[in-house]
Amino acid sequence: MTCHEVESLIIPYAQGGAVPPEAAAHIAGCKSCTGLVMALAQTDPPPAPSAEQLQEIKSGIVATLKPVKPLAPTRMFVSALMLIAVFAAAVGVIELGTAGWHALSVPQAAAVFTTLAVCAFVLALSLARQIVPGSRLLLPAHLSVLGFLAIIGAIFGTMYQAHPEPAFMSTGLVCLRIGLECALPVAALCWLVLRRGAILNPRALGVLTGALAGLSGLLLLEIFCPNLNAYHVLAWHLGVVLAGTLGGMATGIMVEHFRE
Amino acid sequence: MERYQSGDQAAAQQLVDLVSGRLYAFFASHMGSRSQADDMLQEVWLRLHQARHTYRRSEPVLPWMYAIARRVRVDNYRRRRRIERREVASEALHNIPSQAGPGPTAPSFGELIASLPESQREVLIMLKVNGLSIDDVARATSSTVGAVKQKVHRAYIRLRAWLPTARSGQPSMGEES
Repeated sequence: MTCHEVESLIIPYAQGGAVPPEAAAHIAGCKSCTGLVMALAQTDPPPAPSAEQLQEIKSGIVATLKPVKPLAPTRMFVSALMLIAVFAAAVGVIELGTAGWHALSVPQAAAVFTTLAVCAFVLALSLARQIVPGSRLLLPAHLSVLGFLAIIGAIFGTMYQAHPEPAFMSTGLVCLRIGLECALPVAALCWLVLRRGAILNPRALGVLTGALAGLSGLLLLEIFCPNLNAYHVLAWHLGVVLAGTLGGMATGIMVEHFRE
Repeated sequence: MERYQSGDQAAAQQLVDLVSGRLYAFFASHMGSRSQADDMLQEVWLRLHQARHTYRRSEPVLPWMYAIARRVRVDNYRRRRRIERREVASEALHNIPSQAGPGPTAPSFGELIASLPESQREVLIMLKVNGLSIDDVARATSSTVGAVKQKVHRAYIRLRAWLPTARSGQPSMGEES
């Protein structure tokens, strides 16, 4: 065995736990690993809180102790968050129409909407786990959002044709505004759902909420906007997700500062 | 924990007795100061109490508690840093834990981890002092098992390099940097 292979056993070995014989043999024969084990084997007496303090804590808890209803299952939160995102996009579609949907070919529609559905599901699942301390994490928030942006960008880049557009800014800004108008209420409603849990990391929660809200805006734009120019879609449609993410992150940072 | 959620006072008191020592050791190992550990223990119980509905019965309880304890510690650390930035530097020096300066003999665990970056130190404390598994540490730190293993690996690389110099009484990495 190598030093790297026995690393997970160093602490158990240092604390007198049973380890496989080959690992013990390596540690015994390796100066570096033996030194590490000796250093980690030292046990300072663990500091303990005073009896008075424990009594004070107990009194505080008992004085305000009431039965609580445990948090709803993860699937309920995922469903609620997905419903909010789809509902907001649906309201927008009812108002603005489905010109974009009709402009898409079947492969384009299949690729775009499947990707959006998968991304929305993973974001909703990540959010539902974020509010339960000690949950298993799928991916760090910023990495998952960056990954989704890259995947959706790649789908747009390959499924849509790119060509110069004279009214790039003016039409783009209209789409960005529509997307953000859809994303804002989604973010607010998601926040209302998520605050039922424990918000330990407002920044990560903000990033994920902003990205999901942005995705709702993107869904609306893909159904409403008939402009299939890759430049337009990448800059202004995907820009809604990016803006939502950045806005969510900024909100999370503000909440962190407020808490401090 | 389930009885605590149901409002059972005896269960709540038992839970305080059962885990306060571990939580206190977690804070004291990080801060090196009993008064700060006292404050944080008080605060963590307040937050655990407020968030008790977020514990899910099918999930392990320790990662849930340590995730909240970790957030208390991080918030406290940031708060202290902000205050220290505003205060005169000489005052801030008094708050440095008396862990630096290893003697010619083997360093204590506190001295050992004092030279590590914060994230690596946190993982080692959870593993050694609190006896959590790697999976529990990953859950408590909102990280992945792979990321925790990598932090442990990096911590061991640093310690392997540092231990011989520490035993010979030379300055630690923390003092050099």
